[in-house]
Amino acid sequence: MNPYAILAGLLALAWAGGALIRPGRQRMAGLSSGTEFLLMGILLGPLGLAAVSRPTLEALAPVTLVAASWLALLAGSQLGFANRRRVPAAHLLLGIALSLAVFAATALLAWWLVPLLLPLSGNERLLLAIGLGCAGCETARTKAILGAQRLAAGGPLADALANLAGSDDMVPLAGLALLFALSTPAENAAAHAPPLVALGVTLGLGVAAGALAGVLTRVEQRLTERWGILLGTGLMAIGLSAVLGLAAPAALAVMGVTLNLLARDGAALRGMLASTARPVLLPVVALAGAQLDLRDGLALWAVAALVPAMRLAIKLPAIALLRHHLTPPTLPGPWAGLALMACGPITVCVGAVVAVQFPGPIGRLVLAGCLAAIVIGELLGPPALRRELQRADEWPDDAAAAPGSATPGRS
Amino acid sequence: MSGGKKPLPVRMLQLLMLLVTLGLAWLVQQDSTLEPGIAAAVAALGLLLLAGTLFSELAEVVGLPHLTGYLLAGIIVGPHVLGIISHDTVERLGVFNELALALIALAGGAELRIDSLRRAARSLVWAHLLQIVAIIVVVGGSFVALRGHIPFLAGMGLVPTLMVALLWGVLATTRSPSAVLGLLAQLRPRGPLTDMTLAFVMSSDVVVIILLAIALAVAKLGIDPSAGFDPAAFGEVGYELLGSTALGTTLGVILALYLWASRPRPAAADSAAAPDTGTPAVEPEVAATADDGGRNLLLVLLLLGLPMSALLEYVHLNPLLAFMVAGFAVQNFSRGGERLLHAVEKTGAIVFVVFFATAGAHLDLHGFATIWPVAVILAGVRLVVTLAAARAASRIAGDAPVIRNWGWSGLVSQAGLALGVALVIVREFPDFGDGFRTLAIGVVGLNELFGPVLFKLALDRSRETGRARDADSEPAAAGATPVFSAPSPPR
Repeated sequence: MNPYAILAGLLALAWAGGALIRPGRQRMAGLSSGTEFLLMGILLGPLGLAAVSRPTLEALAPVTLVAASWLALLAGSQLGFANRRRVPAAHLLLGIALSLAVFAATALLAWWLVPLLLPLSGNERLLLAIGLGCAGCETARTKAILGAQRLAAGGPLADALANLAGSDDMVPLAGLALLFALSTPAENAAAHAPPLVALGVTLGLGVAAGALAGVLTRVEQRLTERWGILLGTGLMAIGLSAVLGLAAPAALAVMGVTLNLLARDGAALRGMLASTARPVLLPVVALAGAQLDLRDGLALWAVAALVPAMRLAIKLPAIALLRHHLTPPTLPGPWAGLALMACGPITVCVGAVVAVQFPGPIGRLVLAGCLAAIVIGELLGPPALRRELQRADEWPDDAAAAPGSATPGRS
Repeated sequence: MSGGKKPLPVRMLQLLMLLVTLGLAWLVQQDSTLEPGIAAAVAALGLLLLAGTLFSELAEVVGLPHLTGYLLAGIIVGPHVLGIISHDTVERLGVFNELALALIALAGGAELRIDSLRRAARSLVWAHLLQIVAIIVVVGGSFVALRGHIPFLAGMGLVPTLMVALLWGVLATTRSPSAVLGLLAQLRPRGPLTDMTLAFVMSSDVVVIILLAIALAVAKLGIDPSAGFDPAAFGEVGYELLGSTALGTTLGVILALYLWASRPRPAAADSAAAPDTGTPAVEPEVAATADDGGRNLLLVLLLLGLPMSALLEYVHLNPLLAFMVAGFAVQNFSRGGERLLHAVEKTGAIVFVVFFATAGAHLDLHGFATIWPVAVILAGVRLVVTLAAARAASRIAGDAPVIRNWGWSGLVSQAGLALGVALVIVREFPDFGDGFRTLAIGVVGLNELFGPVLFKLALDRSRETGRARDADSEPAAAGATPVFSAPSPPR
């Protein structure tokens, strides 16, 4: 049967599943990264009911690549912005530093740990370490978590957490570019350029696509033509990156940054791109769930524990140490770092793309790390965010938090 | 979509960007070590979208419709001119074409209203009747007259030649709903010419299915008398018509139920209002996760469109008819018609760029070079007959002057439906099928290129262009430029 029809069926079922766990119109747990779609993907994939087979998943690899790269474009276009505000430089740097710390710690530990459990070649070991570093270093935008609960909170702490969460999207995408650049045809069939050249071409392609789209949208105000320009340049950059064996999401993220710099009305373009987030995210999440493969045994479980553990080990003490300087005069609680545990679309994007482009232990383990970070993040992040905002008296009242209401509660 | 005129420097910039894009794609394509796989198809889709959009912008300068720009983009980047997109890649883009066709047909059906059809019934019957008879007789006759110049008819007897001419005549009766809808999307016209053309081209799909079945049965008998008359052919027609209608109705019911279940509620409407500064209440990040009816409906359309297209193909039913019936059912038997149309509008011109740019890439210019004189004559005869039959039918039915003068103009375009009919004929008659297909592609290509130009001219002259925008300017002001024509109020 047509794999695209199967994908449509998978999404329809996931949608139905998502509706079932939503009593009325308000979600129970604030599944900001669409975990219900992830679980439905696992259930219907080869690990579960096998309604979606491995050959079907291979046929759907382009859908994964395109959707994940588009999410990266969104992330690139929103770099430096949170909740339609510019992120202050201090928060931006702190967010990036936290993300880099999680990346480095996870990668180093994975470099040491995984070869003890699974035989890997030298390059595989390096690539796996980079991939697992990417798996844990992104944070879901707090607005997405609150949006999933139909709520809007505001205040110094909410803003600070939103700034930190919105600052770290580029780190995993840069890591992804490095991962693809260092890969050889043994791991990634399309790879064929030396690492530095591959990195340069990824950057150049992203800049060229962003410049093309930026210049053309400056002289074109009509919405339909703008969509043609954005979709056309985006798809071209994705396709060319994939043909050249490069990290398409990284190129698209660079395109997003360039577009935002060159566009005359960046806010309008960001709004256009953001409106596509959910329809694009759902297939990636569902396919990522279906791609989960447990054949690596103990190594897989170790990785699944390692990635969320390192996120926790870095973010919790770091925020606890910095809490006096984060939102003066408001003092966040010592557990405020838990509020930054939720993972967003970029983690799904990393897991899905690596699983598709590296069909071996690297792909399987990185995907497992990403999915573990997402699930654990969903369990810890949203409740912690709620608790911290309630503690800081920034959580909307019940009356304002009625289902369907998105009225800003900024104080 | 037909925005204000842009100054020359902007047009030069667009031309420069187009050249840069084509140059970049051409450079990558020159690297023979790269695998032309699915990644190349993604790049090709992007190139077609971007080049199609830019070509359509440049086509505006000389007053050509956007569709012509899309087609030219496909032809130029396709395998026969620059060769940036290969034959294989064009074939791989078929799935997007199916989806585009599904959305086009759905919107086309949703544009039809029972009241309008009832009022135009007399005109439609006369128009179909005269068009069918005149085209089959005159275009078929011209085909016979030109048989000495048509290579695949060499050595064929008179009766088989007449049968092939009959098949050609049926092919010539096909119209292009997608071309008409594409132009309506760009120009947003409103008026009797628009309504009549839309009703005619959408209903012509049903007419062509029936005609083709009859012609195939007769032609088989004429070309190979030993085969005998096969009444099963009519059973297949019944199956196709009833099956497509039934499945289309089912899809329409599903869509109507979804539209009812997800209808806007007062609370949601309240929250959509901006609370203070006029900025949207739902910020982009929140909007991305909120369960917004419009975006979700578009996703539902895509989710239903893909499996339905696959299912229809699997059971040999007509996707165009099925999706058209679905749209028609939602518009006329539920309260969700406007929301459905609005959701499909959100796909923007993207659907048309994909459909027509891919069609342009499919056009076989090398084949056309060998048969162009015959193709030009046959296309010319069809044009003249279409014009004469339309005028005669309008006179008999007592149509408004605008339809009498310009009613023919929207009937010239041919596209996917005509090529689909040609493929059926090729499959049934493999002995002469290849030559027939080459000629068909040539003639359909001409009609595809020039038909939209004529229809745009007619809409401009009849002053129906832009009336929908004037009357219904809210969506454009809100930033959601409608693509398909705004629904006409019942007259």
